[in-house]
Amino acid sequence: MKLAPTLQGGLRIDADSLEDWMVLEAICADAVSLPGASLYERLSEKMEGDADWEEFVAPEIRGQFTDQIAHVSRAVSAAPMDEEHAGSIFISEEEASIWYGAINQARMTLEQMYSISEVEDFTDLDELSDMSDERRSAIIRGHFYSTFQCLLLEYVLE
Amino acid sequence: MQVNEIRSDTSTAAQNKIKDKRALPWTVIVYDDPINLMQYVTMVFKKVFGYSEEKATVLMRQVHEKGRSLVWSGEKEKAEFYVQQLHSFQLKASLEQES
Repeated sequence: MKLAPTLQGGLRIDADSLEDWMVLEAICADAVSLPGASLYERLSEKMEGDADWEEFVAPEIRGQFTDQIAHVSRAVSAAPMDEEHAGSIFISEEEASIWYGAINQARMTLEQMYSISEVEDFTDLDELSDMSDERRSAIIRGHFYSTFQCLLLEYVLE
Repeated sequence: MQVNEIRSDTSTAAQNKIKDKRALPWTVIVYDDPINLMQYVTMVFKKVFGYSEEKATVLMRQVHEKGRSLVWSGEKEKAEFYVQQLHSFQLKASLEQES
């Protein structure tokens, strides 16, 4: 898979195999799997007890987080691919923050379930050899998600 | 008469105290988390508050190194608006009244 900035100020993803598409689909699968308190509850835990906040502000932000995941899910499932599973997704400047938000939600889940930030600076896959397959897979996905976010920040969002 | 004057003084003092409390600024606080990238937090501070790169970076470092940072203070309504914005950018934030 390749990610690269476009001349229009966005980012393109070139997927070359079924595995690449599985990784892209995993963004939404991870994002919706946050165990325990919702993302919004975590962000606003210091605002607890403010009834107006819960009534007027929370629903809008919760909706925004759900929309981010839905947007990315649609973009991945609707992307055209050829018979060899090669295909591209173009992320416009306007969509970049939506993608960033969905990926952030995916990383939040991986952090909660597998503490991926403890091993975020690995340089060799051998460093992950003594952990479970699930955690190793989560750390590799988390690494890909962070790289994806860095590219969005560097070439599109800023 | 004297008692009434004392009561009146006490009442005025209490009212002033309430007025003083209302006049105290509200502060917006951002908390550290293991997910948000430092470059992203800096960008959010620039976008939400209009801070310069330098100021946004200093505040981001405070969040990262001290666990929290007071990023803005002023009127309650504006503080609420900023916290809402920070939440929508997925930063953990709250507002408190200065004491």
